[in-house]
Amino acid sequence: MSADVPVSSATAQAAPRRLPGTSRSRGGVVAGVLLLGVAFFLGGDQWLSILDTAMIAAIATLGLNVLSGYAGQISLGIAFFMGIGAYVAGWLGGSAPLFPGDPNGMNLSFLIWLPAAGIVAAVLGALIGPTALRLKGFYLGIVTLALVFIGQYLFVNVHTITGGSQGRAIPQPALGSFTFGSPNPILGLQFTTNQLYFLLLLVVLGLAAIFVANIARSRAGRAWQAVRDNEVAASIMGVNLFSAKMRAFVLSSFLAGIAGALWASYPGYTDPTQWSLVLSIEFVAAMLIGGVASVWGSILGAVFVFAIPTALETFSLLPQKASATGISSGDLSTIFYGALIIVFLLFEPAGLIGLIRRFQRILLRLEARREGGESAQTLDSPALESNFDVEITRLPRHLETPPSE
Amino acid sequence: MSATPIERPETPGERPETPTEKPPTLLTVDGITLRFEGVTALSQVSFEVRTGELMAVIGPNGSGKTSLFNVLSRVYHPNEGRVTFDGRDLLALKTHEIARVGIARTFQNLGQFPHTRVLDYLLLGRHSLMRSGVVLGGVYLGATRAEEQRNRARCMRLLELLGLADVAKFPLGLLPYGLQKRADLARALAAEPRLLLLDEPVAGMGLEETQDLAAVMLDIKEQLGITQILVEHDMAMVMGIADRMLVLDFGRIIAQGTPAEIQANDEVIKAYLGVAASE
Amino acid sequence: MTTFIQLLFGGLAQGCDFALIALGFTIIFKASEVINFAQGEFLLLGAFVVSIAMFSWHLNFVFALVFGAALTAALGIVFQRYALRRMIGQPPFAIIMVTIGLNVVLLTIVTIALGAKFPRSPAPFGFSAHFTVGGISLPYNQLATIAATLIICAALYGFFRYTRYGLAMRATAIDQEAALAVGIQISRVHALAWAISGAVATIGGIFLASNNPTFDVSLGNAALVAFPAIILGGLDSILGAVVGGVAIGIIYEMAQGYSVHLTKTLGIGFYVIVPYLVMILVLLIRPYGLFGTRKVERV
Repeated sequence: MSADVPVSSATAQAAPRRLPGTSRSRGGVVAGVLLLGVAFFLGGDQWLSILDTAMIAAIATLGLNVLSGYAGQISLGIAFFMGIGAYVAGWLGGSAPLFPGDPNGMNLSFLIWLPAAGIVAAVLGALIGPTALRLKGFYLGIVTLALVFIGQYLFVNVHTITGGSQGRAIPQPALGSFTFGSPNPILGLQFTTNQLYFLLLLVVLGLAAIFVANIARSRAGRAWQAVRDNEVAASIMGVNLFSAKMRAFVLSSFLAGIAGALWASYPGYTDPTQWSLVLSIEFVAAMLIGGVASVWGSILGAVFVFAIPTALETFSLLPQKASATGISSGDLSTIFYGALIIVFLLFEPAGLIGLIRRFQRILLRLEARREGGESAQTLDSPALESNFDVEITRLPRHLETPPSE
Repeated sequence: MSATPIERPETPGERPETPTEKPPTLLTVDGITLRFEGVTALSQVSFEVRTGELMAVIGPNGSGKTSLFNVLSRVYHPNEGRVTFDGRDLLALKTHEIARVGIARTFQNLGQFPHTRVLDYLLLGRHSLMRSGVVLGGVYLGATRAEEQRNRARCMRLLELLGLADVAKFPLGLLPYGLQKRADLARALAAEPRLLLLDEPVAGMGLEETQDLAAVMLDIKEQLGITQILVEHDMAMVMGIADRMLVLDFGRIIAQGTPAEIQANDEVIKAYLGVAASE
Repeated sequence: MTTFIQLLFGGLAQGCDFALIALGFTIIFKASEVINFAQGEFLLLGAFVVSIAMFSWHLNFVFALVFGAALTAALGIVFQRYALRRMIGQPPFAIIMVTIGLNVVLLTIVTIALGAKFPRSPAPFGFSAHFTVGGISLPYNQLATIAATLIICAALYGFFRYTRYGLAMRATAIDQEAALAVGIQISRVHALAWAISGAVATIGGIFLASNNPTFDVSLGNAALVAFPAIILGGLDSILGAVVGGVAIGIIYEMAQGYSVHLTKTLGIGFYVIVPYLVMILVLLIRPYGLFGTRKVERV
């Protein structure tokens, strides 16, 4: 996201502009919308299902990125908060128990249980935060790991809400008599469940992505990244470390709760084994592979870790030999992303986004060369109102040219 | 280019109430002693800094200069002593509160924020002057957006004044050392401080860069009226611009005074060279 | 009373196992300042290889053990040299994640290799052989675990105290730069640390596997319980690893043994999280553990 900074026309930038020009990004948006439209109407239920799963995963990855990517707090605990969100959704939105021993359900509307999932998870984050965030690095990671195990223990034992190891049903979104499960036609069009989820997730993911992107380019996001990079320096510059970490933790838990509710709502069922350390690790992998501290990175990473393996399996893209020896695509993809984590961390710590940006820079450089020389910026500078109006009389005599990348 | 008088920001709520008259003495350090596990870093350090002056702190390595800065920037809490800044008890503040009362500090080691862009770094410096939080920042409408634009404009202006406008979008890690140091100074100035703590601002710089920065420091003093305390090793530069100096050795002050007085001081010469001039 | 002593003994054996695993973590941490999340899978891999060697290739136990230990040692050296070394200077999160990545890869490889087979666990003494003393059964395997741990601890003690390489490792753990300055080859120290950890992991893995007749891929998860052990003992203390491991082992066995009584109030599976609750308690009260060094934050 570039800064909307008016630069005086006297200061021409010698280096080529780093981001694609307006016309190109507009074109990109149009192309993206078209692509989504195609996927939506023509994609077929299987593709949509994969897309839906990836989008839910993206919300969780976004949440994880807020805490670990931007604020730099190691956490393996996302599975816990997702589980909380899922069970809150089940408890608030599920139907009343039919048999004794069935978990409770309050049959509340989807407009209640989805936000509540996030809010309860956020509240838990606020309660756990002060204790956990005292720790740093590995210690914090271990505590969040312990949180996952403690969470699973609680999920198994609090039968009335969670249904214990048997699990429980999680409701699908519904508005009045319109349910995702067996939807009525809208405006004469009959949408499938997957399509409805797609639309819902587009909205939820879109809102989450915009929200996080906005924070990233504003005061709170800057503070988080300073906390991540050097706590003492950040503190000297005025950042309240505890407050910053807590906010990241709470927002992250909120997003994880929402994602968890959707993650369980989609198949309609959940049990404690789902909210395991393995799930946390998968999301950490998605964050790292996609790109730390990046909104697009979160989405890309989620697609990578969650969509591609399922796609391979669903569409039987695995080579024949592999399936014959009984290696499931699940296993293969797990090795694959395990190896990818290592490869990315070793060679491209900025993840897929890093790779893409490198590619963009190469393209820009090629273009600049082709167009023959420097593109000067001619932005009009509106009147700058500044109280900090001072002239420094003795300017430096020379300015070294910054090294080109 | 003529100098214009300084106008302080008038947005309410951005600064705690400060007296409208500037007191003659901005900082009073009284009997500061700092001990770590058997090492006494500072011992009974006492001095005053007048408003608007440029004070230099010098001394051999290990004499406690950085420890002093760490106490003043509230990274360390001294075992004994008091510090009064602008009429308030500085030691009652936590580290992150010093920016709000008007203390800014530059850093010796600049490797901390390699990926942060220069403009964002300055905006980070304005953290205590801005208000938007997570929710407002996430929504990013209206007042928050205006606040961002306003502050970006101010930071760009500052960058232009310091000759850094061309590198506003560059990550700090890509800049050459001299520009990094200047960006760090810009960041400290962006906080609109009353007191600027400069931690070896010309370390590792060549002659021309040092002179440029010395000129900037004089401008900060004369144009902006910001009080500066400078820790430095470069004696020539320091003697040229400091109003008063403080010499530390093994955590104690061994001399205070004008550069001329310090140059003639036997104790100082002994500390640096091992033998007094008169011997 | 017999239950108590039985559990105590079992806990001791289990604790020795945890101690071995914890030692693996601590030795690497002291040398490389890294927590090797893949340690659990080293354990799994080592035990698996020994099992294959014993039952498919019909090697005798000792040879199989040596083979397995050598393999994991080699793996550790390779990983450290070609992956971890490139990560120097990166934030701790990244480094932890690389080891987690390795964890995932190793786990999946073993899972695939196991496939549909159900190999037998590599237990040197079978699964039922035991002494009986005063109503308490002392399985050979558990005795062997305790004995092996004692031997390894003694060997490590001797190694660190009396050999050149041991001294080099201790020096590196204290101050890497100073060690470099006196001519210690840091790369060798690292390699040695990972090799020892790998070997110890295999040994620990075998005894852990010997609790069950069939081999289970979840063996690696046992290593996770070693985290409370190293936190309790102190991240950078060898003695702490052993003491912490034994303590957690005893606590774990006790909790498991008495869990029948606890189920009414505390539900199922409480004993699984007991070590983690202990760990959280330690982190709140005394984060550097029983024997760890207090860190002085220097600016």
